[in-house]
Amino acid sequence: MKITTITILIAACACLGIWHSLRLLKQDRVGIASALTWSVMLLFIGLAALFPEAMDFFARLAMMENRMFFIIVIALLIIFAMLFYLMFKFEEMERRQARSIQTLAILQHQLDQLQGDQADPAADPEARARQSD
Amino acid sequence: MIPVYAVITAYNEAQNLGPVMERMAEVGRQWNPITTIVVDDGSSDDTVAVAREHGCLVAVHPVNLGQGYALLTGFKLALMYCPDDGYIVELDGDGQHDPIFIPRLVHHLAEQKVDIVVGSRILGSNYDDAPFFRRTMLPYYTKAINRITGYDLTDTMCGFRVFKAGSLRRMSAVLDRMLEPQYIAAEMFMRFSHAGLTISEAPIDLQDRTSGKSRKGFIRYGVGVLRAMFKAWLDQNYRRKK
Repeated sequence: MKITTITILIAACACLGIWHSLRLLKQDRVGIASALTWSVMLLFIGLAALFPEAMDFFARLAMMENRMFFIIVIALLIIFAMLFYLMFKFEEMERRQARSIQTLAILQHQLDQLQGDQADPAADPEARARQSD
Repeated sequence: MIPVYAVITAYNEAQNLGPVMERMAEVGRQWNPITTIVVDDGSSDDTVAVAREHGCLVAVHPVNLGQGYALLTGFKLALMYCPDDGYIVELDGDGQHDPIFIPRLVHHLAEQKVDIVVGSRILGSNYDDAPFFRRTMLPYYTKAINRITGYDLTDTMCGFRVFKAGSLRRMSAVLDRMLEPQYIAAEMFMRFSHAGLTISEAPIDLQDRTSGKSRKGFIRYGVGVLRAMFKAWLDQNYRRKK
C-alpha cells in the first residue's frame, strides 16, 4: 500500500459517496438495489486506490496482464451496463407517459361530451347534419 | 346506414384539415354519413377549433406524442362509439388521402370479407409522381414486411386503411402493447398476422398536401420502421408469457 495525496483523496471521495448513498437510502429517496450498487462500486474504487496491488490479482483472474487495462475495461463495462439500463428505463417511462396522456385525452373528451361542449354526431342528428353540410 | 368512423390524426394541420373535412362531408352526403374523430397531437395552431367547427369528435393530446400514439388514441375513441359491424377508417389530416376513396375501401373490405383493407399507392394511377425515396425504398420495406407476415401486399406503409371495428376491438390489447407506435405500420402488420387477421388492398391515388411540408424524413422513418420490426419480432418470439 502506497499512500499519496491522490489515493487519500479518492478513498475519501469513495467514503463520502458511500455515506451519501446510504443516507439517501435512509431517507427513502433511492431503492436498496440502487444504493447497494453505488456503494459496492464506490467501495471497489476506494479499495483500488488504496491497494493497487490487489488489482493485479483481479486482472490475473480476468486473464489480463495489465492492471490499468483491467480497470479501464471494468469501467467501460459498468458504463455500458448503466447506459443500457437507463435507455430501457427511459423508454419505459416515455411509454408510460404517452399512455397517461392518451388516457387523459380520452377522459377529457368524455368530460367534454358530458358537459355538452361537443356533440356526438352519431347520437346527435343536428351535429351530423352540420357535418354533412 | 353503415356505421363508419374516420380517425384523423393532426398536428398543426389547421390549414389542411378544413378542405379534408369538406371532402368528408361531401362523401358523407353522397354515400353514407361518416363520423370523424380528430386527434390533435399537441398542435399550437387552430387545428382543434377547425375540427370542432366541422362537428368532429375531438381528442386533444396536451403535448406532441407523435402520429402513432395519436392514432392509437383515435382507435380507442372510435371503438368507444363504433359497433362491431361498423368500419373504422384511418387517414391523414394533411389532405394527401382523399376521403373520396373511403367508399371504395369499405366496399372492398365487405366484398373480400377481410378484416383490414389497406390503400395501395403503388396500385394507384399517380404513383409515378411519387418522391424518389418513396419509389426506391417502399418496395424493399414492403417486401420485408410481406416476408415476415406472410401477407402479399404492394404497399404496407400507406396510412389510408379501413378496419372492421370488431376485428380492431379484438386487437385492442395488442394495440395497447405496441412497442414503437411512432412506426406503427410495420409492427401492426406483424402483430395482426400473428393474430390471424386477413388483409387485402385497394388502389388509391395520393394527393398533394394542401399546404405545409411533411415532417417525416424518409431515411429516419425507414430506420425507425426496421427498429420497430425487430422489436416486435423479439417481443413476439421471446417475450416471457405472463
